[in-house]
Amino acid sequence: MDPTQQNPLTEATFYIMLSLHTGPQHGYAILKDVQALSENRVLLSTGTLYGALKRLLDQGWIERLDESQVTPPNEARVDGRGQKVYELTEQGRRILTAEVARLDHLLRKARLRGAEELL
Amino acid sequence: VRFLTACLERLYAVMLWLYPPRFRREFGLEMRGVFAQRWKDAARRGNGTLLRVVWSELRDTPASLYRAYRAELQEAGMDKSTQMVLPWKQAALAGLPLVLLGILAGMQLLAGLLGATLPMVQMNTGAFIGVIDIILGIIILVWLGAAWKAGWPRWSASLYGLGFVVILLALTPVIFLLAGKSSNMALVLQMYLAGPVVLALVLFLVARHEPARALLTALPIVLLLWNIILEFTAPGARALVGVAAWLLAALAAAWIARGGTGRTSALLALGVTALTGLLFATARTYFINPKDKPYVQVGNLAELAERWLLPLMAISAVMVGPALLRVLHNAAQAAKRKWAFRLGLAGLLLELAGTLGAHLAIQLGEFRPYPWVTEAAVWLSYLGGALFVVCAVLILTVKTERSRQMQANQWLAAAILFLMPVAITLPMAHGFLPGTRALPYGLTWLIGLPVGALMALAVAWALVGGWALYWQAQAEGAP
Repeated sequence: MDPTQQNPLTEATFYIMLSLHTGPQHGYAILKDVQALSENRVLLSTGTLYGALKRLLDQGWIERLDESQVTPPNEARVDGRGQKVYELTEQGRRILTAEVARLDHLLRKARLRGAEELL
Repeated sequence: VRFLTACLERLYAVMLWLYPPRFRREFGLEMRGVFAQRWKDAARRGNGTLLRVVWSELRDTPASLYRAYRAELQEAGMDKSTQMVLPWKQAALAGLPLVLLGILAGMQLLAGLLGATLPMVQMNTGAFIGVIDIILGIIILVWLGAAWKAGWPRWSASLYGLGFVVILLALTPVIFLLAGKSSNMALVLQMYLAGPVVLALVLFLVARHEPARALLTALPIVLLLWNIILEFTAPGARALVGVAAWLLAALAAAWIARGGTGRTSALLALGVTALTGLLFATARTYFINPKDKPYVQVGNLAELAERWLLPLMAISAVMVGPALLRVLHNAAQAAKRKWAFRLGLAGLLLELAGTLGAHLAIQLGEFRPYPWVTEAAVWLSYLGGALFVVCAVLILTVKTERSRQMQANQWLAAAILFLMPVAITLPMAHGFLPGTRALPYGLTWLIGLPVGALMALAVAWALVGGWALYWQAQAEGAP
């Protein structure tokens, strides 16, 4: 699938993928990261986060790994639950790149029209 | 805080049971972990943050649940196994709830023959309910729970409609209790507005993803709709035709569940509808309850035809409405007049609003003898009907490359779609008052819904089902 033909991402999806751009994260870290990236504007609930993660998994844009696969054993969580992390796939990375390019294109067009006061 | 955290985590774990089983199995444990972590973090920051966390979780839960179920249904729709032929053992499970209902009708017959009465309890609404009916209602709900756990296999579709009716009736005494003085109004709103709308939504979601499931869901509802005409029928005859109809429907349900989709399934479901109607109309016309004989006469062939054909038109709409709308939609697409199709749908919606409004007016006591509210509502439905006819003509008179047979089918589809709501509205316009509790005998108490609500439901079903097919056709890029 051509990533440029993809519909615009929702804000929550964009932030989740952006959060995974720097490396694999577990659910709670994504939640916090989205909050920080959006400067407290997007506060995901647990249900919304996992609904979005499931959709991204189904689309093949992210994958789910055991935490032990990406974390040294001495740093792994030991509470016996939630030991999964999420990582962008190649396809996901292409989609994110295409989305950033799309947003950048829009901004450049706005600037070209002298709409700085809107930015 | 530790105690509160433990309690809330537990509460959250319970709440997770609301999610579809597959989703819960996949993410439930992680979600609990994230919630607990989020809660602990918030506790460190003070009460304000704690409240924000609880509020954000609560506020988003309905939307998250909706999205999770929608995704689940979409997956089920995309799953190629829906086209699969089921083994007979599994297919038989679809017929089993209907067999149970048939057995219950048989028990009524046996009790009648032996001169015994089955135990009944009186509800706070004043109505009587058979103890066996209550047990059956519980069995259906438990069964639905098992189907939910099993990930809603195809056979479970024959339980959806029944489960909905059981829940609706179980809510009635609660509403009666809570609403106090306004209980009549609340019950009317439940039966006329909330009930049909929610059921239409359920049917919409089912129909959108798998036609076979829609047929299985509609089949028991259709049978319950037919029960309405059995008022004044001798108990023995009523129970006998009940047994025959439920067993027939059980066979049809097993067949439909086995085969998945297909025209044969639709024809079979329609055949059961027509045959059930004929059986019930015959029982009602020729076998009058001796107790009612002083004021109800044994009828003739003309009355039988009237009793059978008019409701058949409305009730079969539950089955064929979506397919007919799809025929019209395809014709509109070929004629490049999709706007006319949408306008025609709006016309049908107006008809529905008018029909619902008129029945509500009747129920709320406005019908004395012909007040403006009812009249306005009836005219609204006529206006909707006229709009639909105009749109259908606009679509079907465009010259396209169609065979004579296809042309005839399309005109027939439009005519049936138009006649169906007219059949509902006309008797009302001439002073026919729908009975509110026409079914005191046997399992037929399950229905308990007013005629108007059910007929309106038929229209609603045709509409939302039609929209489902319309979307599906668009998605498939159908010609």
